[in-house]
Amino acid sequence: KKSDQEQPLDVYANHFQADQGKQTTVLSGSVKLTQGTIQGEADKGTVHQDKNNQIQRVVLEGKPARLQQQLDDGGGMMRASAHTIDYAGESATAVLSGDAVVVQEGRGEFRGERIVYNTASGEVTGGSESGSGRVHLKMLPKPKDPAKAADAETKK
Amino acid sequence: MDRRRLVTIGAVILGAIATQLLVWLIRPVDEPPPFVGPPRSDYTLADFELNALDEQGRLAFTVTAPTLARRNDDGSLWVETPQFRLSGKDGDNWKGRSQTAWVTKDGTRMLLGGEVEMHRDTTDVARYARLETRDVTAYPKDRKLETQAPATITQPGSILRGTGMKADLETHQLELLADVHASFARPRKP
Repeated sequence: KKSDQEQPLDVYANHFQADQGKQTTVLSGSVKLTQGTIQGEADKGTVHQDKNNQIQRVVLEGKPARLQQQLDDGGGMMRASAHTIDYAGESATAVLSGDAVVVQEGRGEFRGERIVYNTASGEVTGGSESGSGRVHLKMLPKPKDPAKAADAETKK
Repeated sequence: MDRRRLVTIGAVILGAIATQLLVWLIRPVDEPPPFVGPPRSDYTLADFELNALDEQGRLAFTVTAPTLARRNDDGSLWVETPQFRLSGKDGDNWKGRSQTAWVTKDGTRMLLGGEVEMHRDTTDVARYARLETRDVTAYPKDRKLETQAPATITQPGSILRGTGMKADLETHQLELLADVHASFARPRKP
């Protein structure tokens, strides 16, 4: 949801190691991340902060790492998985790399080596940075409006 | 078996019972355990301030408290309700208090007992941070802390909770050993 960006970010894990000099924190062991409707799961999470302790990015790594979010219109769910999910809350962008899969309920499914997902707009961009990566797209047909379908039947 | 033998057996049994009673009656009385009070201190201080220096003569830590007792067997110090300050480079000092403190003779180890609260003010080197936990082992000269108890570290914009903690105040490394919950607030828009 667009409002997810405005929510606090919570991370749970078994172990936590912070290097406040480098503003980097590594969490390991059943890492779980929540921000509004966004939920992430991974084996390892690396949190990068700026000088003011604000979060810049959270990199989730797992076999696979998972991320899910409730979509704004219609309330369907987006479910994504990949070896690495680089989530930047500030720019509402999740870069999935390594067997990346994004499934948006009622819309479609995207597979590829690298997928960029916008957690505010739900926009999906595929292909590797070098432009050579292949993306497999499966879009679901827009569901027919039951009322219109009935009209079409009677006109026949 | 004739009457005389029965009578002798009875007499022997009675005799055995009588001697057992006698032994019980004249057993030594249990003396109360010798009174072992607190270790004898060779001196005590009231309302004191202690400044410990490291090998280079720099201030390592300061302790102020209402009472201090120095133990004569190992030269350690026992302090009630201490307030302390761990000094660091560039003014990166941690101030704190605990319910008790026990400091080894050479000042290399300090056991902060009971509830422990410590905080660091914002400096050029590091940001404000506050630590709340229990039963901390501090190594003032190495500027390291560790505890097995639950710990909460609050900084502007984040609250970190975990069970078991290790902190290196020199290199600003912090480790939480289990049950970690890190909460990061949303940045307030300017």
